[in-house]
Amino acid sequence: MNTTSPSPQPRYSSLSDQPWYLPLGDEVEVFEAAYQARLPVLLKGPTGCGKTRFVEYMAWRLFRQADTPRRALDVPLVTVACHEDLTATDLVGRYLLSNDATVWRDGPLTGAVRSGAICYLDEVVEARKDTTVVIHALTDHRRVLPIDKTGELLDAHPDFLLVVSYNPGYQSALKDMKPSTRQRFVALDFDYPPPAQEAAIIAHESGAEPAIAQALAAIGLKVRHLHEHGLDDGVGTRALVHAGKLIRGGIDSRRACDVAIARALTEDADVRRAITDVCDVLLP
Amino acid sequence: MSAPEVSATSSIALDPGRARFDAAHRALALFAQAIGQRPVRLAPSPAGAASAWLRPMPVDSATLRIATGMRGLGTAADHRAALRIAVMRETLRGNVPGFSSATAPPRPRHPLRPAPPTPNSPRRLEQRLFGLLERMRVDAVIERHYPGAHADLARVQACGLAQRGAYRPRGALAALIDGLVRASLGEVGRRGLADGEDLLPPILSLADTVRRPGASAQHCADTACRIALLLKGFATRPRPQRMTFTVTGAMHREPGPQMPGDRPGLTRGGGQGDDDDNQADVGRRNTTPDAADEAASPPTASKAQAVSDSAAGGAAAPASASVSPADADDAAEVVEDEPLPGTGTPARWRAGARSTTGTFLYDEWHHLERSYLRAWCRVHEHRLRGTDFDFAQDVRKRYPDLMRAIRHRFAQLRPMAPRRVRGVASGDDLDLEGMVAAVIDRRSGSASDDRLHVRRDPLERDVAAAFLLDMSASTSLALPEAPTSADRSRDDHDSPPVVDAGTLLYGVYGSPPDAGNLIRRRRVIDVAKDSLALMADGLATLGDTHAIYGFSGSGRDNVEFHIAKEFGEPVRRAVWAALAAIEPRGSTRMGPAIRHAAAKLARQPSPLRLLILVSDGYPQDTDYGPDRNSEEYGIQDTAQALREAERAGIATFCVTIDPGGHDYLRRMCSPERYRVIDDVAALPAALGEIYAGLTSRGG
Repeated sequence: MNTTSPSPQPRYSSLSDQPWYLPLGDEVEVFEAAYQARLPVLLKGPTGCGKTRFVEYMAWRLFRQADTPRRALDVPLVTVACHEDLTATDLVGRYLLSNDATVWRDGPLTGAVRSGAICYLDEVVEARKDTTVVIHALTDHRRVLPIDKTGELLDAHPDFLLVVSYNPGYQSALKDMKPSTRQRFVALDFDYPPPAQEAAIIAHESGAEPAIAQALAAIGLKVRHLHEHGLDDGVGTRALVHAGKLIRGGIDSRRACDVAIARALTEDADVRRAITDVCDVLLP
Repeated sequence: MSAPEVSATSSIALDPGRARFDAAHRALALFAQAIGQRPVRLAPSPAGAASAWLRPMPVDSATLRIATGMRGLGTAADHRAALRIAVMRETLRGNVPGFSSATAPPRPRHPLRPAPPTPNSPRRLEQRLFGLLERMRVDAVIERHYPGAHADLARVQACGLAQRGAYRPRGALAALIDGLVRASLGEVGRRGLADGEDLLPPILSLADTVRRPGASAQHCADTACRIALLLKGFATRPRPQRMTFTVTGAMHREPGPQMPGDRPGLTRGGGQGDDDDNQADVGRRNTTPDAADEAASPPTASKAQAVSDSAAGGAAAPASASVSPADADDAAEVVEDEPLPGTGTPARWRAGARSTTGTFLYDEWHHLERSYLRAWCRVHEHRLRGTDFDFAQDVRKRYPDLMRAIRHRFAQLRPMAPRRVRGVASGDDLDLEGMVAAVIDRRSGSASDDRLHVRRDPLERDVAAAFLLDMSASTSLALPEAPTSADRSRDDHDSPPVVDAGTLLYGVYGSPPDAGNLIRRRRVIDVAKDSLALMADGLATLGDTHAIYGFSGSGRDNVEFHIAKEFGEPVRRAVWAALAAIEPRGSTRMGPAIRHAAAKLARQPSPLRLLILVSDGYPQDTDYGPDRNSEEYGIQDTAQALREAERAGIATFCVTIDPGGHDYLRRMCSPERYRVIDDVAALPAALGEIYAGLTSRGG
């Protein structure tokens, strides 16, 4: 007798190749210092501004560089995209049926705690409130993970680090992070890169021509002015990169921006038209 | 409580550019915000693009006036692109005190106060030159930073030049300014008239500096002053041409027959051909700044219309020789004499903020005949759209405590205990009963079910609520509140009467032209809007699906049903802006509005469906029943509509702020289904409590 795999579907990254990341401030140094002190890290910032890429880059630096003693770990980064149905059970683990027996399967968080990986809970405030219990125990001086169902109190591996992210302007008031939780983390604020750096990122990630990359960065800057005035969220660098990739793939630049930016951002016809207009006047 | 809505059909027919603007103005306003980094309002201006630039920037810089009168463009796409260029130009335009805002826009005028006579005050030359140079600077910015707009800009400029092609300036000064205007539209190689030919190159050279990267509006202002000095110096030259300057600074032709286009109110210099006197007059007057300024003189009243009709892209050209010679600045006066949005034809302006999404026919109950009038009422459904995206912030500032209280109250309505769902493939725990059954099945050789987990889902409320707001003109009544210090400090001469303005407006004019501009006090509709905004905020917290509608209209064929928020639509900025766009208009034909709202509500799958009607008086419309003086027909039809909704499984509740509401509400519905709120200001809090009470006890 088999059961289907429970949610969530975490991403286990081996990070064999170095992720490309363009530092915009001292975030790399701060993260490394936090890791040395094993302080959990909270990344705040809007959608698509590079939080996930940053974590991948830092995991690579901490676990894959030639001089690190942690290179032996197969999976240095476990990423969980949190959602409103994600429970503590999903993170910690559950009993599954195997033939006539029940067997325990570690959840992604437990796996990372045991192995000493970085566990990255993306958009953590989307998860159900019971996840707070396990997060609190892991993020104070105890660094333990209580597993109710097995009665285990799991000490975190010395190399383990919890990283969470959320978008302060995205969730509703009900889903805001509690102060008692926030204060357990070192908080790094992320924002969209300045146009020059964003153009460099777009050019690198998409392979688009510099002129196109600059135009896309300018589009991003302008469209973000509609945030909270028709748009619930600004356009992320990721969406601009998507547009660049489509252009690189031979799609007309305006069509590419239409599908990757305007239509991806909103269903409001007027807002979409305004974004299309911005793209139209800025693209060569 | 009825009033016919102001119709602007004729204005649409006469001004296709305005109609195009109306259709696109929200998207254009958002576009302007993206380009200019700040929210703005757009107001149409029928003048051509260039002429609009000759007008000083309004003091209210949050409102951009967009030229809609461009002609000579080809397709609809070209017109849309030209509007976009106009928006970009206005958005990127700079503001220099003393140049841009020296002339305040006309104050909103009370409708009963007669319009003041249009003054023939001369405009300062520097201001107009500044307008031209600013356009040149902004066009250069567009060319540098907006490559995708090059073609559109070139088309608009070419259109302006083409319109100006036939214009023949009379007089060297006018020719110099004409040359500058043409240069601002991209024309190269222009030569001035013989008399001013030597002056045109240095003027153009000076003007060209504003195109350089880094040039600012201040640079334009400085350059305008320098060019004005050159022009005024030119005006002092002794020339063989005979020009006269009157005491008002107006430049005139030599004495001759009265021209049909001559501007009234200006004295014609020179009397009966006394050339010497005229020449001497030049010597006396030419030192005044206004002397050369009048090369850009305001047009005549009759000419104003011609310019308005012909203005396109560039500055206007006189249509015929019968029109007195003037230069590009002519059209500016036309623009300035126009009413600002909100003061002249606000109904049309508001109408642009909504779009009809469907028309529906509904029966109406004739209580005397005890039968329905089939397909009697025509309901036009509109989607409300607005640009005031700060409305949410405003409401939060006005009601910080109440907003928290409503959220807290609604949060208490949420069920806290999770719901256990058995027999799922994955979940929080194993389902022991299911496991036992599965083991038994397996051992008995039967197929077993592998869905052996228990999942704890949060228990959800399942409520669908529709709020239906009476948006009739009577809701424009001002609230009886003490005037603020700002109100008291206002000049009484400029202040319209406030206390009975609402009554006055809908009693005399039907729909008020724009009560928001005329009445500074908060109105009934403002409180109602705030109430609905608070409900939307609270319900977003609670998670109940809800819709917010309004209704108004005039006559059975024109019942207007306005949608601010539909079911399932998240409470986003667009919804806030739509709520902010709610304005009083028309009458109160409740029956068809209730039927339409109920029909929409009936499509919701929720077991508890609730319709809440918020009104300020009894139902009334121009043809709501055989006797216009009797409200009984409307009351009975409304009662019937409420009964129909109840029969369809929809709980209804009526809230009125009319202290006399008991008289008719008790005939429309049962006592537990309505509430009369004596104090309008209490509506926001009361509505929240009413909703909580209705949904916590199951309607």
